[in-house]
Amino acid sequence: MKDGPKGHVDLLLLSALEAGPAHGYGLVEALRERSDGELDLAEGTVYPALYRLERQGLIESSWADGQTRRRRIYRLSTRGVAELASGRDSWRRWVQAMDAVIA
Amino acid sequence: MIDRALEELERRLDEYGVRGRPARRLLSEAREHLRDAARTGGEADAVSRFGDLDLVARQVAAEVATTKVRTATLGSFAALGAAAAAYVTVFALVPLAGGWPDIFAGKVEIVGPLSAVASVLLPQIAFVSGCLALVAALRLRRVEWAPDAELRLLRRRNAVAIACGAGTLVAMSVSAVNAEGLLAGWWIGLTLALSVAATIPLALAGVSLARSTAPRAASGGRATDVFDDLGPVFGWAPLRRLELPEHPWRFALSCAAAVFLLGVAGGWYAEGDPGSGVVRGAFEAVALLACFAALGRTLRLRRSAEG
Repeated sequence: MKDGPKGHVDLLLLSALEAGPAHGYGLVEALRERSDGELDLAEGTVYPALYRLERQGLIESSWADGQTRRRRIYRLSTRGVAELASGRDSWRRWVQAMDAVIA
Repeated sequence: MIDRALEELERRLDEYGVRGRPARRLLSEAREHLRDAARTGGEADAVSRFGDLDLVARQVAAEVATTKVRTATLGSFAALGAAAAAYVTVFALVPLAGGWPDIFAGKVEIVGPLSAVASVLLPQIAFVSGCLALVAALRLRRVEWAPDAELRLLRRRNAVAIACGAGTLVAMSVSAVNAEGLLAGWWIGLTLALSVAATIPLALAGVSLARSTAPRAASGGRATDVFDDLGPVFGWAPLRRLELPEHPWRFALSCAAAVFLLGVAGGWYAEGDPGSGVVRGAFEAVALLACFAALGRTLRLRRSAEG
């Protein structure tokens, strides 16, 4: 599956952040691992999606300075947790409906 | 290879008008991302997996543009709130400063009626335009990318609101100076001071709005209109039957009729004379129709043929 619909990318990112704060590359890696390599996003497009989720108040971010590197770390906000639950519910209903039709 | 990709990304961002902090942020994140990715598959693979740099730059531009216009709109509305507070304070204190003088009794006869008309009409245009911009901006919070046309519309609505807000303050100050000798000196001083104070946030809002013209969203799609902004209202069955989106002047006349009735009721209540109410209502209704003719397309109060 290459580059799913944008709304689904948002849900995937929120879901990946549920495991804990992460930087952009960490999120891409998490998605790849959790999908056994099936989700192969154009990695750069994750950043505009993250900025959008931040504008929508669903995630928060801050810089974390390491010894040699400076990374932007993203985490779920309270609203993001609620949005993830709602998005997951909608997605499951949609999958069930699709299954019922195409199975 | 990574350095070349970052230079290319920076160039594309600059092309779309993404500069300063948002550009530095993306470039910093992209650099770390590519360095991490290069550890497993080499630099060429990392750059390839990062994807189309133009697409990333365009999406970030759309995102930054949406955020800036939305922020500028919230700022404009707050500045209009400050101007409204000054306006209400000044006019509420007139009875304590000697009461409403005859409109032609000022230092320069013609200035009285002109500034009075401006003081009545401009704040109403500012209010309507500001509210429409705010409603559209609140909706932007949920959208993925706002089309460039939508962002341009929001800027226009804000610009009209700010200009009319500033015009109101000027009209108020002119009225006060013209009424010297007719109203208490402290009221004239207070009016001028509040006008200057309320101009500052309006000027700042204007600067923020001017800065929101970059980056450009570079995304297609039509701008919404008042019927999208107030969808639930126009979805109400009796209004739906009027087919207002398809008949702009029917919409304008309906609004004018409502304003006329409100003007009659308000004038009658305030002055205890139905005749004054009718005059006030008719003035407001005619002014609304004139504003609709002049600003209807600019503020998207009417649906265009393609929309």
